[in-house]
Amino acid sequence: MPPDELTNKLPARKRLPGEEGIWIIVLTDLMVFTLFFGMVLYYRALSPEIFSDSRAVLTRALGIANTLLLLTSSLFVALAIQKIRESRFRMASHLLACAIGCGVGFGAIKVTEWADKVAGGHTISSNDFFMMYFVLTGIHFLHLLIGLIVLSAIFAAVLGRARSGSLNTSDRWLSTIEGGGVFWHLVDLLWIVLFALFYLVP
Amino acid sequence: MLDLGSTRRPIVIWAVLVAATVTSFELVGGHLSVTPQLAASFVISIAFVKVRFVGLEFMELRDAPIFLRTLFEAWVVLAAVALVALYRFGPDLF
Repeated sequence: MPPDELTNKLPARKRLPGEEGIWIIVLTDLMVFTLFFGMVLYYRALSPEIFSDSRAVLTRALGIANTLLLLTSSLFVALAIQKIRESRFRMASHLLACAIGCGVGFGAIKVTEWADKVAGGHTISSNDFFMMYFVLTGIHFLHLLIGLIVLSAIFAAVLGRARSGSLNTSDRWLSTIEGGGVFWHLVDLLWIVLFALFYLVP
Repeated sequence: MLDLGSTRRPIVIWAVLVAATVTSFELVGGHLSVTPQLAASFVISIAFVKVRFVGLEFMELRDAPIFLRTLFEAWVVLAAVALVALYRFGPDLF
């Protein structure tokens, strides 16, 4: 049977991508960040004018660029996982490289953005908006770095398979890689809300 | 509906996410005549619609055990409602 017919079938029963552990991490992270999201709006409630004045300082175009970069990186990862399931490792490695490229682009924009704001006199101690902005985008940045390390590890593993020509994959190997993909999508997901709260919300 | 295993599906999802992002941007860009309050509610809601797509499609929760999927969907709705409420009523409360 051609690989496409075999692997494009839906699983017969519900299955969990990745190992259980990654979902503990994901759910915990979502809960913690939900509290953070609430805190942003709490501080906004205390001083809405400071919030909207500070938001105007941010460069919305950079925020959008970053959002599009992460959305695209998630697309690349999703496609890569599909290819890995089809044992198309070389294709997957190209897709992963693109995903990593997007992630690095996000990081580069973020760092220059921070530097630009600090140079403009807006720092973590300027006001509550910037405190939340730097702390939350900072914590998100740590997630991004971890995600990039994870994607790089997956890239290396997949490239190794592509080069060795081996088509064999264990469920465990696949599961670990899926878990890595899920973590990357979490990085994307968290940013979607951060972008809305800091760059868009009036 | 697209075959869940097709390559096209993630691309379509991505296009929807990009369109939602642009829509949010337009809402607060002043190009559409909405009050800031309404714009904020839409922006937060759209953000969580995007979050739901990322979870269901990219994280593949659509195929996951019902318990996990339900947990996620419930969180999406509760978080969105709570944040919109916090935005709207926060200044009156604090």
